[in-house]
Amino acid sequence: MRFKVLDYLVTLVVAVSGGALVLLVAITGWQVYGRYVLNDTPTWAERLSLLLILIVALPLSAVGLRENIHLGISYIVEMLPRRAQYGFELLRTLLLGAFGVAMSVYSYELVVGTWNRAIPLLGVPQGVQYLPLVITGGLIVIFMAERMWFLLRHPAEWLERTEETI
Amino acid sequence: MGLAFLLGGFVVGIVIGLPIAFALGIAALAAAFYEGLPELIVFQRMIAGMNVFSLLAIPFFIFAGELMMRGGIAMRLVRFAQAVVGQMRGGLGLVNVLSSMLFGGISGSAVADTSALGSVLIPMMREKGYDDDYAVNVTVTSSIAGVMVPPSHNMILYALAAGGGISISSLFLAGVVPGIIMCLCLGIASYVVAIRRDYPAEPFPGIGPALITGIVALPGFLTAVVIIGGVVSGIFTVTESAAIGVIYALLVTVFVYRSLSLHDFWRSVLQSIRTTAMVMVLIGTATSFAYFLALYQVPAAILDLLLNITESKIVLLLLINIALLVLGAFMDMGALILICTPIFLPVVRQIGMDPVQFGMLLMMNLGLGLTTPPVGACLFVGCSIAKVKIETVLRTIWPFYFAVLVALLLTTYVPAVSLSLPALFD
Amino acid sequence: EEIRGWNTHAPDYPVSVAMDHFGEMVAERTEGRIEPNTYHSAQLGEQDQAIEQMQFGGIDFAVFNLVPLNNIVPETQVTTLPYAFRSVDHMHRVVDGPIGEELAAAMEPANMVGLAWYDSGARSFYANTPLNSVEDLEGLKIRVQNSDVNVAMVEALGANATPIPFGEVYSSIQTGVVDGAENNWPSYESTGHYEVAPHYILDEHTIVPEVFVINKDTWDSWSAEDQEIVRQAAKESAELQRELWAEREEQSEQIVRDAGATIVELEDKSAFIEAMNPVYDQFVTDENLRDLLNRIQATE
Ligand code: NA
Ligand code: NA
Repeated sequence: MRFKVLDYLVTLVVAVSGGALVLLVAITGWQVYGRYVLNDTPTWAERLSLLLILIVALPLSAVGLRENIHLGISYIVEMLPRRAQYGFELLRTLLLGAFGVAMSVYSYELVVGTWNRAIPLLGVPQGVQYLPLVITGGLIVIFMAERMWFLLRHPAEWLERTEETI
Repeated sequence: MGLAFLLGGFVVGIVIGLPIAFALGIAALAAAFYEGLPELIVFQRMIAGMNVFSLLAIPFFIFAGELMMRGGIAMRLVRFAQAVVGQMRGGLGLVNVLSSMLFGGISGSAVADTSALGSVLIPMMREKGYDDDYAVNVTVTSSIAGVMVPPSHNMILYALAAGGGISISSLFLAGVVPGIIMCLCLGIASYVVAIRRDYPAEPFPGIGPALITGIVALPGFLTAVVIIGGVVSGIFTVTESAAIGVIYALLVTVFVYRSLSLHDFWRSVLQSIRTTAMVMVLIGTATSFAYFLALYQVPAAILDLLLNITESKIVLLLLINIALLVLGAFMDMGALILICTPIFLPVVRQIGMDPVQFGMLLMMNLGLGLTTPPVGACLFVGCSIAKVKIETVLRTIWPFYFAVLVALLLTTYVPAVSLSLPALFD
Repeated sequence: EEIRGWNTHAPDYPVSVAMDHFGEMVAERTEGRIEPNTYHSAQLGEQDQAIEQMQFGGIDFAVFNLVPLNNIVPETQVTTLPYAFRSVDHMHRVVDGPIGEELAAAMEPANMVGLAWYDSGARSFYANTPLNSVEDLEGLKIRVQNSDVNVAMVEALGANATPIPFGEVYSSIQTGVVDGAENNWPSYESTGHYEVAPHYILDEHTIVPEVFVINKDTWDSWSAEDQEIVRQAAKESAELQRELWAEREEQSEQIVRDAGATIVELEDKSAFIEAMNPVYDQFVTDENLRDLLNRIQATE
């Protein structure tokens, strides 16, 4: 029920996110070391950390949608007949895809609108902080398109599956 | 009318099974659309919500908890607890509660508690003849200690949502006594149930071996001392303390216990980033949602409403507790802290309650929500580890809910429970 | 028509009271055609984000400090340089005159119409060790705001510039994460920083005005008559704010002095002023900025 090529995309996202987390720990450690040992606080560390956390969390949250790990309430829909559940699965996929589109488009507006000013103490454009959201929106669209593809192409298979966690 | 779009959109989203984080975001987007506001505000608020320095402590706490679980710190804490209280009748129930308190003092998260301790203790209890439902009951409810006993990343969220002015170190100190009281209540509950079900006792290993388990567990337990010490002494900021906690846990598991392989390390990273992604996105969209609540002046309206219903402080606090319990049953803790704090904090300030005490009340209510259906992350994790049905567990969990409620009432109506320890350090 | 205002301070702060007063005046004088409603206590976000929302149309009016505007309206950077103004009175004369209008005009490309100037006093250094001269700051860890000018300024004094979130400054000084910080009288007092850093040296390095702005799209949608009413109300609110601010400063100074803090007044600030030369070299790079600075300093 999945495209192999998107598995590679997921691996890439996970590797970047994991690397960013390790880097985040290292930078914070360096900040303490700079302040107490070198008596020269790295003033860029805090702002850079705030960018890194977005890279750790956001793209991976799109992967989380693909893998259904986000918290939600599924039991209300699960009380309905299987065919109705299928309808709601279509609706959810559509809504999440649309949210992904909105996320990408509007965040791109934010990127453009704030690109010509710098983040204080870091020097990179402020628009950079909205880029992870543009990418995340794109990933959501891709993963929801994948789900929609299989829902529409193989409805019978979906209907036969039991105990699907949402 | 716009408010109906916001709340209605959210409820419909939840009912049709959207993930909570995305239901919040979609509802906020609908409200922006209805109001003719630039839709990009929703995403700007999302980033703003995630872009707060003290929030960085959250992935670090999660990471430290994962390292401790996979690096054998959790296991050694359980052995120590077993040596201390295991020889009482139904001893493994008490071991479970005590371990939660010790481990909760490091991981900062109730869900991490449930999965770390549950995967060690539930099979152990089953082997010694304890029933599955009892094992899950104790594991799940005692994991609320992870939220109450410092450090707790949910307290950081609360300090943030309160708009500054509440010191995180006061919150950390304030959680100690309510956390201990709750564990005492749960200990009594698990003892009483154990006696009625005639569960066995563990043999006492002797003073010497018991002492050794303590010494072995100590380096791992010091992770908590490093984190809390860093915050309370103020030598490090909260975020720095959490990062140093990660580095310390790494050093202990690699060089002292020598039980963390490269594979374990990478597994810890993977699990941490997954949890972080879920928590952070929820924080982001909850911030967007809260923006519209503020725009529609919901906090002020609820303040008026509550103060008009009753003048009695006791009734008001009871109402707030009930509201939080109901909300907590349906929604996740992090999002609720961000949404409920601006709504209820002005109310309790009006009746003269200390914001630190309110924080404890909030933590305990929403922590209890993690263990109740329909949405209870700890309950789900506990049941899936034991492979039992939620219904089976719920049939016998009442004494444990009751124990938590007793602790909750004490925390609600006796300010000294929360406030005496922070006052000592002031 | 309701218009939304952003403000970072608590409802009883001078800025907040003045903005509420602005709202009442406008609602009354336009007979309800325009009803300003101010959301206090940063309910609609922190200042950086509020500036973005102003630009994209989420909020209609606000009072902004000029420091966070530096990267958006380059002209404002000059007013945030140390010793750009000689005194608070001097700052008032500058912003109330043609230079104030020039600065306001520079904000239009960022979708803001500047209407009036509020006060935020003069900022000075304080620390947990005695500060009697510029030399005493050398080697100290000083908390700074998230601003390039502020970091450069503290580093020009030979101190270690340490960015720390505002809410954590108290405990950071208490425990030696930093040795001191810098702020105006009301902040020094209301945060309780004087308890842990009781040595305040009145070097008055920065005197940064705050600007009352209206969203340009909102402004353009009004008749000339209503625009005049709003402009007048903004100016009157600024007068009120300056009065309240002066009172507040006095109260705070009294509280701090009564608590026994050491206050060092400087007869001669030239040592501080000279130390700032590298900051000027770094930030006043363009002809226009240099010219603007010269005209500010030439204002009587
Ligand atoms: Na904890
Ligand atoms: Na629940």
